[in-house]
Amino acid sequence: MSSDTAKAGALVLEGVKRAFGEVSILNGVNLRCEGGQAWAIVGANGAGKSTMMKIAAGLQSPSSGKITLDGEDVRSMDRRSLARKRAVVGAGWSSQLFDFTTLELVLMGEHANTSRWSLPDDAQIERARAVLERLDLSHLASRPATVLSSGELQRVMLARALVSRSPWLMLDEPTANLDMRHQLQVLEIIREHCRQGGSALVILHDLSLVEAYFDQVAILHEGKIAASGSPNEAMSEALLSDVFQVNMCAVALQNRRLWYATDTGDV
Amino acid sequence: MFARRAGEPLTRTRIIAWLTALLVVELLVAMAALAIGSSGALLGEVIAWVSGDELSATTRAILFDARLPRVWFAAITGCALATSGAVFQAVLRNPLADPYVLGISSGAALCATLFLALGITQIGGALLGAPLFALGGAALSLLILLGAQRWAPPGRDGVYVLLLTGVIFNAFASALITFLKAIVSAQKAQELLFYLMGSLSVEGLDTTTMLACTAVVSAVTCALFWFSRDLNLLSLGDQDAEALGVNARGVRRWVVGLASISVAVAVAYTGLIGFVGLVIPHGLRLLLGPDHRLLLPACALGGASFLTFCDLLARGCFEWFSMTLPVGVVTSIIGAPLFVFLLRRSMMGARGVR
Repeated sequence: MSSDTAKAGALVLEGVKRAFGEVSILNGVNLRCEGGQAWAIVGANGAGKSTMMKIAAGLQSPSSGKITLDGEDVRSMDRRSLARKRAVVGAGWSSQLFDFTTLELVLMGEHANTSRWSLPDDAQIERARAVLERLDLSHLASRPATVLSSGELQRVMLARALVSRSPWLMLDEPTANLDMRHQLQVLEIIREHCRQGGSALVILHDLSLVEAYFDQVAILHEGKIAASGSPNEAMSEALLSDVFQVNMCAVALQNRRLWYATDTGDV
Repeated sequence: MFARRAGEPLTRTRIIAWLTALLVVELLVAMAALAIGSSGALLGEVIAWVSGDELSATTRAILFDARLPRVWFAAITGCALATSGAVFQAVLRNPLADPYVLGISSGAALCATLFLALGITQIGGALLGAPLFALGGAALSLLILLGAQRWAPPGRDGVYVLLLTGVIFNAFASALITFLKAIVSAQKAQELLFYLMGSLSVEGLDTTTMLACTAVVSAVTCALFWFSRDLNLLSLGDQDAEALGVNARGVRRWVVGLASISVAVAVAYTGLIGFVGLVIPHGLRLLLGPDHRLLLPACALGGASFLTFCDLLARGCFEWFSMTLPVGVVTSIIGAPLFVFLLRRSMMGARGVR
């Protein structure tokens, strides 16, 4: 499908801070994500995961600190070249005002690869249809995106990101709103993308899925990276219990850890 | 050729087919508008002229001195209003947005009214002074709007700030216009009323002014076409547009600025003509789909045809009212019910009923 994905370079965050007025969200995030790996970001609500992703994607500037993507400073890149390096899907984006069809919406992923006056050619349309097919969305291709359910729209956004053929995928909770089949499908596609040389930075809440599908995980806590590394090393019951303020327990099942939470009594 | 085939994105054939069709419509409407008027129908003469015959001096005077400037001005005003309406709807992501809602028209109208009310004739006379004041007013409202956009916290949408400031400024300017109307003499008030209702009585305009207006509106319209693909993405939201490689605020600033220039030109000479910027983009979007690469040029042609047609009606009513109606009255009387109809159609479409 996306066998022509370019090789992803490293994403490096150095001393990234971000404050909104008095409220400090990120207090010095240091993280080095090598290309070719699937990274998960976990953390409590309001820990700054989305802010960190937007900053890494160059959609928001940090109060201080430096972000390099494939050796280039993200803040000095124009939006077009940035879009060729990374595709972003945020949570709750794309308010549909006009009735673009699903296919038209997905083809917008080609924006940074094509010129101002060009119309989608057969090759692009074929590629977009293939991506839709891979995501079980073919039947929606000619439907106006205004009538899609939130889960469908979310997968269409992922399709748009894949069509862009950008090496880095940055996805904010891509499995929210999805049924079980499509949760696994989306994660499988992310893994496929990384196996072909791409990279992914994915915000996720399901720790068991992080264990099963991701090479690396970064745990964001109180505006800093509390731990990072392979899920097996970085995620410990003690740390996660501290981060999420509940008792986090892991049970082993078929060589994998499954995570569940129990009440600490103050919930 | 014309149909928006299921799932198929915009093709070159469809763009060419639609624009050709709309151009033919505009030419036909313009011919009819030339042929019909208060001094009688000259349909035979117009056809004769098109097929290459000489015309008598009187006929020439009626056609080219009296009617042509008016038809011409209707076309460029309609073009300016409809394209800027389509553009404002996309960048503000609001189907109700048009130059009026944003207060750009009323800013222009306020300053032009001020000029007319004060009766300043020293600055270029009524013909040049009012437009200059209108341009100043449009620029002023634009500065307020773009200034307000900067209040939006970084990373947040500038759209709501822009829209709210526009609505407030619009109300404020309208109040000041009413105030001016109240304090001037009865005769002046009559004059202002006519101007504010939108009128295409531009027979007095000299050729240079006409050509200058045409040049400005054409240049601005073509410049807006440059942004059509970016507008598709901006209509999804700033975040989406930025993520896909568009400088959302930058494009919005350019596009709103450009559209305001052509609105100012239109308002300066014709007053407030409503509904063109709403009805034409909405109607054409239903017909052609939302892709601005086809929608914007289609609005340019469709807006021109619509306003020319409304002006034809305004002049055609001469016999009944023994006066030419202000064209703004006609556009509103036709536009309001048409808009409700279009709204119903598009809502049914959104529910998948179409």
